Amino acid sequence: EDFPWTCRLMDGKGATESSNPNRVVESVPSAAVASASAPTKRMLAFHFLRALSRIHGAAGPARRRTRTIRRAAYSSMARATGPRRAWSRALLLQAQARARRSRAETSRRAAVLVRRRVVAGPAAAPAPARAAPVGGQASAAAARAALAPPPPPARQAGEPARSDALRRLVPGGAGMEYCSLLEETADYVRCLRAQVQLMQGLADLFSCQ
Amino acid sequence: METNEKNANDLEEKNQPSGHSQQPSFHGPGFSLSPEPQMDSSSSALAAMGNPFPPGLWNPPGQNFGLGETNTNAMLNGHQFSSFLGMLSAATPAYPGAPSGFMDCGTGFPGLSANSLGAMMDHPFSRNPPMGSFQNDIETSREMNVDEGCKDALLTGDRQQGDTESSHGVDASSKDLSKPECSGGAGQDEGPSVSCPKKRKRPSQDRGVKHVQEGSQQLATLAAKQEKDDDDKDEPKRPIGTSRKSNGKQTEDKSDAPKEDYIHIRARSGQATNSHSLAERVRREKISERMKFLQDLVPGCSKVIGKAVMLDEIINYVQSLQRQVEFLSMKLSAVNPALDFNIERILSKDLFQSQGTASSTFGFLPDIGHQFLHPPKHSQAALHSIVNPADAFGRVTNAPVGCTFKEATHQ
Repeated sequence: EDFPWTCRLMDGKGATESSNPNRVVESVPSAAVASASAPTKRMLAFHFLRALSRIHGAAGPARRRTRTIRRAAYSSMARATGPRRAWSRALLLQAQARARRSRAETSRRAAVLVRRRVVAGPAAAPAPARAAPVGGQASAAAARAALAPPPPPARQAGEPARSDALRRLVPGGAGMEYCSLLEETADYVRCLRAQVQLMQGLADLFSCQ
Repeated sequence: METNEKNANDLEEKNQPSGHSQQPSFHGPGFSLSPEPQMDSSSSALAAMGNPFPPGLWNPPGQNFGLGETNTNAMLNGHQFSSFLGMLSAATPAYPGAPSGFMDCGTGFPGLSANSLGAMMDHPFSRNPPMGSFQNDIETSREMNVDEGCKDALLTGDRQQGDTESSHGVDASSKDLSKPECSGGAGQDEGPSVSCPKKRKRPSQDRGVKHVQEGSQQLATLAAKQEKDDDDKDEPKRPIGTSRKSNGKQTEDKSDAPKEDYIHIRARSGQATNSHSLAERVRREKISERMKFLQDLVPGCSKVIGKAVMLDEIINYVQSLQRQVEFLSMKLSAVNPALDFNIERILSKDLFQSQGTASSTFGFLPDIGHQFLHPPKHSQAALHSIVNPADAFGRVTNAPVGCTFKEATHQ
């Protein structure tokens, strides 16, 4: 019963672009495309719907579900894009660090340690030394290194005033050159727009009465 | 012309069963270069000869596929191999190898303008697989443009000098250029060394200094005028930069008469060819290109021109998209289908297998109410008929079973 609307979402996002004027842009073999590719949208739908079903099925604290759904949206964006983009890598690292932190917080002693470390150290405190396995620690250290504020490259031509605002918006944009920041922004906007379309379609379908 | 068509037909027939992948790439440059008369004949010749070594290649000029002009016939016959090799190297996706291939091709066509060569170069790259390698595209096209800038200088240097040893110098990579050039005349070594600064050392910099003393002042003023928008880090380089600009032509327009009789590098008019300024120019072009892409992405930005306003628009758009995500996630947390859908199973199996058919075919499921009433155990049965879900939802929600949707909303 759910497959009709999933197929309709596929249609609305990916496949009916043959009638879309955007298709003319996509068929030109230039690198600039105004909308995300169909496989990306498919992966978006897959990951997000899976997360949604898990969220709806598993836990029912109504207040925190908004935040969880939002995080699931960004995670599905990152997973659909894969590790080939800097912003998706940064998002994945964020999600992993968060997952490890939440997993470590299940035990009470670990929770206390984590909270102490969060208060004392930087905000990206990984799992504590006692509870976390070695592998988790290594990757958490890597996440910490990645999340540590890199020196902002301010020696570039042009936009010092507004570029840091853009850096704050785009995940992982703090350490990039301005040139690559623009490119990452373009890809991020494409994926974000596809995600918004997906969520809008879902909201419409769920609440159409 | 009959032989032309017959040969074209034969070659097309030969090529299509073999699935010659280079055929479209031959046609591509042929289409793009049609305005230029010289390239037109060569491209039509290339298009006619999809096979790299056609038997017609060895025809005497009189039968050369009715090209008509003996000039181009002779030139083409003389340089067809190099052109084919150039096109072949361009058609293959070995991008690191392509620039050297084009360097070789450039020597065979001394009469070609660099624009057409640039067009020839750009086209195979523009046929690239799509936006996944967007970055690589930009990088390679930028690299090619820089190389084209070098070759601009070299070709012009050729034409101006008419020296054989500089034409030999063109053939090799730019690093080796310094050696035959240094043995040359007084000011001749300065030219190519200035043109491709990114790839080479500066061997004869001190030799250039004494040539430049008289023109250094005007060069300094010109450089000061034109590099106004560059960074401050160019300032300390400027004394060195002016000493390297031994030719009076680089910072002036091409229309100005050259002051000295050195090699005149065809830089872009009104721009300096300092190594740092070249890199800066490339970087600025990259940035402007990406701003153009962003302009296409962000709706309602086609009328706005200017980097600062554009950037504000982009930031606003990203913020609005993120706010929309937040709002929609709130909405989705409120709406809860509460149906036992096995999304994961369905999505993983069906949507990925039959994406093409699912999107293109539409049918009506006869018992859609039945489907909605009893959640299907087998998704395969439901797959074969795809319903217009708006109708389905309308019918379902009117049915009493639709209560399952409604009661979930206020749980």
